[in-house]
Amino acid sequence: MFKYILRRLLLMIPTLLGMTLLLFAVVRFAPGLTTAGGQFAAGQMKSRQAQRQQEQFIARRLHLVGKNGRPIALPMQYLLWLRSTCEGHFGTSLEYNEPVLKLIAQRLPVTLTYNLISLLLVYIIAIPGGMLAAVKRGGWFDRGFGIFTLALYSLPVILVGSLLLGFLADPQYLKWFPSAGLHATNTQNMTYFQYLGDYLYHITLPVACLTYGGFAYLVKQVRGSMLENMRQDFVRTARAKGLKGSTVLIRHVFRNSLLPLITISAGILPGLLGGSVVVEQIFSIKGMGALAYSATYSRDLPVIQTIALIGGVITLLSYLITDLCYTIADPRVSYD
Amino acid sequence: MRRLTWAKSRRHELAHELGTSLVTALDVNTAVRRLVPIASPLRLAMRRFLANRPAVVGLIGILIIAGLCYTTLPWTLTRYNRQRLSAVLQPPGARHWMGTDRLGRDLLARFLLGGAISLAIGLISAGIAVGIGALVGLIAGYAGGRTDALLMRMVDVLYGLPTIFLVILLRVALLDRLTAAIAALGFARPQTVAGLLILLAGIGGVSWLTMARVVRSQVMSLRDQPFVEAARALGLRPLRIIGRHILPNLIGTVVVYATLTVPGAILAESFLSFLGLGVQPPLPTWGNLAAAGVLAINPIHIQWWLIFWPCAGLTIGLLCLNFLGDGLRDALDPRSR
Repeated sequence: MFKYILRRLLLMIPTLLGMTLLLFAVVRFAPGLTTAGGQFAAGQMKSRQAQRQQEQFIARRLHLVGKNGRPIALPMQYLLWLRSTCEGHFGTSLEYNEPVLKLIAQRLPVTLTYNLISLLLVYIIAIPGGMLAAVKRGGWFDRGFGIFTLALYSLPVILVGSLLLGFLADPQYLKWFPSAGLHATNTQNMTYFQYLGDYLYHITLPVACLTYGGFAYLVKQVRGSMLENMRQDFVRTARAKGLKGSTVLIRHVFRNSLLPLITISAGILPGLLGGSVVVEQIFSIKGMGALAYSATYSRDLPVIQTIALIGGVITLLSYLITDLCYTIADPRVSYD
Repeated sequence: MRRLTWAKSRRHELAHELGTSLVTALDVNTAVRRLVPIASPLRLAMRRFLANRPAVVGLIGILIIAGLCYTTLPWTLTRYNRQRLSAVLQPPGARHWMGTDRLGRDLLARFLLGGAISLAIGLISAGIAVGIGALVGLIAGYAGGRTDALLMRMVDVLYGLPTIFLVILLRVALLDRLTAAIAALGFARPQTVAGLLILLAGIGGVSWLTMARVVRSQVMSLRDQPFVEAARALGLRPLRIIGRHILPNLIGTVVVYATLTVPGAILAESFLSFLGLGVQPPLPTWGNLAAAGVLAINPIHIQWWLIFWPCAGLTIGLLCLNFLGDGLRDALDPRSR
């Protein structure tokens, strides 16, 4: 087991290196690397000399030039950047003038929390739905549910999000939900449960937006793997032993059908992270997505670079974790 | 496909038994058809597809939509950017069937051209998925070993980055240079063209990954099948084995995943348009029309036609394409049977 984890971790290294190389190449290709961000952030005119000084400062910070002011060769720039990244120095945001790591540490938990809630919801609804569809194969529920989830998947988030916001969170129509942010303004004098309630109240619409499209694929997978397992010999054996239909379904078919779902969950999370850029924009949530969006317009390269890198690492880790869960859950899979 | 080969050889055996000199080839065929009821995999797949009503409706729907969008191109191309400032924000009426927008442009023309551009983006992405994805999958799956590892690491690297981040990165890095380069070549609206190219590169750069993975796993399982082994034992060159024995077995998978790429790309474009990173305004797409529409939702007065038409087009188009792709997958993909 330990050896397997170690091997998987080692296998992640080339992928990570590839990612850093790609990010490095893209960022170094960007024009105006040293002039970007800085001059907008301060918002005041600078003398030409101050401007040049700042450019030199940024150039040094990005390892474009050495301490003595000489330009550094490109491969060396990459290695230097890689070293500082490995040491945990992700640079300083050009827009906020704060360490990127600090910004992301503020934003990532926000995005991750409601993404995980959404992931959980998708599974809670899709698994029983898929099971029922498989049991009643070809029936009205099977067909109807399949069409319904696929139709939901086809609705663009921008439309659904804006309509929800425009009609359910607007005093003109129905003021059922708050229209922006994740917390009320008076959070400090709330008890823990009030705080939790307030949070859930605020994330209802964003989570609904992230969730509704996710069912189609998962329901299909659950249904497919249930049907496949129902045809297996061990199911026939269980029936022949005289077990009740429901027992066979839950103890034998369902347990085995869960296995492929574990691996699928890895692919869903990155998609949700990407989707949260739009959702955060619609519902004015200050998370990773909003950070990436504002960084795009202010050309805040260290921030974009780090967000992409962290997104990549999260993806790789989620693949690793799901594979580990799979080997734990299925004794037939060996670690080697 | 294997069944087909088997049926062919069975046909030859029977022809031999019946005596080729006495019976003409036509008779053999009818005789064999009576003895061995043959349904080719393609015909079986077709039957499965036609039995799937939503999929058939989706196919017909998307053909109608595409037909409308592309046959009206000569008209829409002259109209889509013609402003009538005396008739801004008019509701649908006799002169403008879908109403007019903020600048008095006819929404019908913009809607139809937008559909044509959106579908084109989807089709180009599907083309990239087939061209690059299937090729990479084929090479990785057939070659195996170090080539496979290298190509799959490449796929992993791109897979790790969510589409939106990739487009953002490409845009930040390349937009200005590409604009300058295109302007130097003498194109009109260099920024729009550069934005469009980057958008396609971003969406296309992600759209081939799933295809590569699926094709690779398919090729790997095909490679170990007896009929491929037999072909190898006969001394056929790899290219011929791939072309004659592996590729025909992949067509179903490739068609399915290419079809599923189209709605994905259209949806991605609508996301990016909403963020202002998609196709830039004078050119319409369903995505940026819808984005402009939903941004115009305000409590005072809603110009419903600005939201309704593009969103209806986007939703119905995606619905048709998704049902079509899903139906094709059920009919053709051996993994989902």
